[in-house]
Amino acid sequence: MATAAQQLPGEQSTEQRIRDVKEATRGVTEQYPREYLLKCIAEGRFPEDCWRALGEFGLLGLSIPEEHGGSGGGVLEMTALMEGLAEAGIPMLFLIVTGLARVPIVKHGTLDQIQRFVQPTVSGEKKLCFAITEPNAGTNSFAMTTLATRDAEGYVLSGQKVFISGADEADWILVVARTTKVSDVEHRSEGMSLFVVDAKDPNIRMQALNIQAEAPEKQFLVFFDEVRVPAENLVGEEGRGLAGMFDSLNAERLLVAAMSLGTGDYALKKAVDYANTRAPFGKPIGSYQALQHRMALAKAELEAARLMTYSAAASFDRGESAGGQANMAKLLASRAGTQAVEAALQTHGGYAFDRDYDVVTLWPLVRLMEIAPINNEMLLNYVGQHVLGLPKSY
Amino acid sequence: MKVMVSVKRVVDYNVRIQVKGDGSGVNLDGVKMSMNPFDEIAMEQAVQMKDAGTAEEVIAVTIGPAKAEEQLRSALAFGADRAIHVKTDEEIQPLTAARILAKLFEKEQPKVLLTGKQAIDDDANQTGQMTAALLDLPQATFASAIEFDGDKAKVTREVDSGLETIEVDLPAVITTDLRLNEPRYLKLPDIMKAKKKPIDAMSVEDLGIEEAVKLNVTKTAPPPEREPGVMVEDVNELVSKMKDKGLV
Ligand SMILES: Cc1cc2nc3c(=O)[nH]c(=O)nc-3n(C[C@H](O)[C@H](O)[C@H](O)COP(=O)(O)OP(=O)(O)OC[C@H]3O[C@@H](n4cnc5c(N)ncnc54)[C@H](O)[C@@H]3O)c2cc1C
Repeated sequence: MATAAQQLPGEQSTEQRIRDVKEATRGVTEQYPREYLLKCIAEGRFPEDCWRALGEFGLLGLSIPEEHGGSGGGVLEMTALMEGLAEAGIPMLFLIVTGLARVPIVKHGTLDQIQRFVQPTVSGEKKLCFAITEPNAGTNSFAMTTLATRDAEGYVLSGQKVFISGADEADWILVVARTTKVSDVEHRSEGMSLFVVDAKDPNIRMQALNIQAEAPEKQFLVFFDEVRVPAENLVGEEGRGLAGMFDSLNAERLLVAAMSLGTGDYALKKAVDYANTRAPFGKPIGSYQALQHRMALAKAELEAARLMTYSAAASFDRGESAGGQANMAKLLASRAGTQAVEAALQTHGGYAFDRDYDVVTLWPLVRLMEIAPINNEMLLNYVGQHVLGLPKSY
Repeated sequence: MKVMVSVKRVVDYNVRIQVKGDGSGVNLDGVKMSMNPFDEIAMEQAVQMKDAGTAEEVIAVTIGPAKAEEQLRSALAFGADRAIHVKTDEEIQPLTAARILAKLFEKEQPKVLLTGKQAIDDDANQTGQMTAALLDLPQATFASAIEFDGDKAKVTREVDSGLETIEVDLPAVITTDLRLNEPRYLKLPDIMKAKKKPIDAMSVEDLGIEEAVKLNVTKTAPPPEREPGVMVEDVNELVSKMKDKGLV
């Protein structure tokens, strides 16, 4: 990802790095527990206080080098943060979005861009969201048509993006757009660039989507109608945006994995508590192997995916490329997370569907992790092609 | 003044304790360990004294295995200036702990030793009292408020009959109760800073302490399961059931 992990004082073990981050995370989740998040979701508002607390506790500064006002640390620390939040019932979607938007700026941006756009996000005071998906492109980012045309003063951006999480909350949107039309490039992967766009620009219009993800962040269709973007807001080289983007995306997958793992554990804990007390036939339902084995298997699969997730995170932080491992970790973790929530659903019987039991409400977000920000089929495509050496399948 | 605080590594209060099958103790395999919550309160008290300028130096002490360094690092993240780690892999009984704390007290000469009123693992509630006795110092246990005034401390104690306020001469041993304060949450920068603070490690033998083996745990058993309740139709039935059981 952005930079190799900052060297923390002394040589810290992986376990210690995870423990430090989780300890600070616990300070936030104990102040802002699951009930707080559910309240935000019910009231349709962003968990602003919790987000600010993450800033105050030095956690939003993770993966941002200390010389840029961050807390240092690398992929491993971000992974631990996300897992720590999710296992307390606070799966913070906006953290993934923030990671996706910040990493390319830290990695490919100028010092001025880092200071203007990334530094103020460390306290939570300013927010960045991320826009790549288009209605007619979807998984195939190369097919995007949003276009930024160069003129004397900078760029003029037109097009539309869909599913943009937290666009209403964001101060800036990191937009991936074409700077050369697909018909004018040799290869479809060329001609795309990254721009930091002022989310409050009057030529941007947003339309909320009717998404049921059981998360407090809302999704928007975002229309760009000849939005003026200053040339100094171009991140990295013109036309090389997606190439620069993709190599940092693999590491960000681990945040998705961590969110699934944490949510899975949170769901299992609920399932175990319920299974130990619910006894329609006189003995607790947790004593039935049909349920017990389902939970035990879910736990084993979560733990296996967790090992792979942190192992991949540590590899990235050592400067190794761990794309294959990270993709497989996200694939396995998202499935394990869903299976754990499924086990919790089965255990709770009919009550699982009572929203007040907060079980069915765990399902949409954990299931989404098998689809967004990248669907598991694409990960299998990657493994097939790049790990196993099979022909490209799509 | 100089303040010494003892902190103990115990099973995290959120963990659902499992008794080992053979009754020889509780299962610690893969169980989350944390600082004893009453010691967190003692740490918070010490750090508040530092923030207020009442304390110049805060020293955290633990007696325990190598891994108890984690709890010392937490104490340093709270704001302790330095720490002492008395390393041992043995189960330490309250009297041994008291002997060690008394020895360290003599060495460091703090104005006050703060300890949690008890540790949530064995709930002995003895170490603070024994330490004071060994040092022949005043003690104020179960503190829910502490006010320092020169060479004295006014301590409000939570006792069975309510609240009792006593005055002790310093130096003294004060043990902390739940309502004394709400311990702060540790922030990442403080956790990182704590890594650079010094920990002085030593063994029980280094201190010339003889271990006290006074207690022998014969068996550990889970609490009896609660019997299922009964449903009653109305208030009259409730009252008559309670009368039957001699509850009213
Ligand atoms: C709640 C939510 C939040 C989101 N937040 C953001 C955001 O903040 N920013 C942003 O840019 N986007 C965001 N997205 C968009 C998300 O990343 C896309 O939905 C996702 O990438 C899939 O694109 P699509 O929906 O167009 O699916 P499609 O591309 O239409 O794919 C549909 C399905 O077809 C299959 N499929 C597609 N391609 C292949 C292939 N090559 N091989 C095999 N199978 C394939 C997969 O099963 C896939 O699930 C969000 C989406 C949701 C639902």
